[in-house]
Amino acid sequence: MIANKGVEVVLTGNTGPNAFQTLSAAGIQVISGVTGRIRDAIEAYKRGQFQASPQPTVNAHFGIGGMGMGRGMGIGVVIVFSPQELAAMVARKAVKMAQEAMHIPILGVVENMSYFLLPDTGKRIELFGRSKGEEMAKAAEAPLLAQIPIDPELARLCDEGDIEHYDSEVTALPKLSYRPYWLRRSEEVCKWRNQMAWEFDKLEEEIMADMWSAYTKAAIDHAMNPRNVGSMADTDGFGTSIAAGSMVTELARGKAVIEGLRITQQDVLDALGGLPEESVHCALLAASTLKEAIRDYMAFEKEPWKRAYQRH
Amino acid sequence: MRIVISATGPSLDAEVDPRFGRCQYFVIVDPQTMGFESLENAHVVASGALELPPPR
Repeated sequence: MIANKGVEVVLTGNTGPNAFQTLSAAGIQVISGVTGRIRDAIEAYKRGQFQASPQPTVNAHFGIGGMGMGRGMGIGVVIVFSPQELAAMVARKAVKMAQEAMHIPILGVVENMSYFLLPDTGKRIELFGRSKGEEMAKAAEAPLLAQIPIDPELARLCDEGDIEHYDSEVTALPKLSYRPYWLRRSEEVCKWRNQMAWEFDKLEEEIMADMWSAYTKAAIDHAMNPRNVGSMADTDGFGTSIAAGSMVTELARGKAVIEGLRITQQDVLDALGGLPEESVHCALLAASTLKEAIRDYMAFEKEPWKRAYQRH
Repeated sequence: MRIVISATGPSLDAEVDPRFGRCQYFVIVDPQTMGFESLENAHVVASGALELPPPR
């Protein structure tokens, strides 16, 4: 699409290996790490400030299904194939693609429709030709997880949604006598993911600490542990709204209904020890909500039949 | 000569989008005249890698 527009240069932030290869093959120069406004980026290019990227900036991303590696959800692929020559050929290509183009760990190999056992004699017949399970596992540097027979019992359990009850030697996982590529690779991925999770947690803590530094102890306490939630005024939303909402229910508790009407924005603010300028409205919101709730309550007291129409 | 840029919007004043494959727009610019056209990226919400064109 880009190549046939007569484009010679691409300016962007990051490119994956697929895009990079395709563009390079089309004779298009790729410059990555570019940020800022487009107009400025073009000017900078004209002044010769950019150098072509020698390689993609993003490692392979994987795109099989919605839960593929591209979304960071999986740790590898399982190659499933049947012994027909054509199917095996496609599977060998997939193995190559995972290993060489995408660097995705292959967790294992499954040969489906591998054989058929004659029910009377137990004779093993390879209906779709010679089994290629071992061969494929070797090529994939991964264990042969299973060779699944053609078995009416398996088909029945499959249809009934009880496949986990299938009892056969094929469901026993093979013992590993070596640490295969897929295991080493998934360990790396897990380590990396834990590191990322830890960094995100730290970042969140820092942001929270920064955010709360502007608030008093009482406000934080009411925001983190809201009082009387669901009993009178339901609050959700930003921390200060929760804090103010929580405090107003504390102020109203034990008071005569009519006194509740007198609770003002200032009372809530005073009780919380003040809020930052931009959050003062939260106290007003809380005080108004309480008034509204009391008005509602009084209306129902006067006209009890309306209760039946109360919306929830 | 023409330059293509991954962009967050369809104009020269938009920011460069850091993701090439998933950018909102491609803006194609002639650096001599600063004339440009923009294309919406049909793959913006796709997941995973883009499909490669079939081998020739």
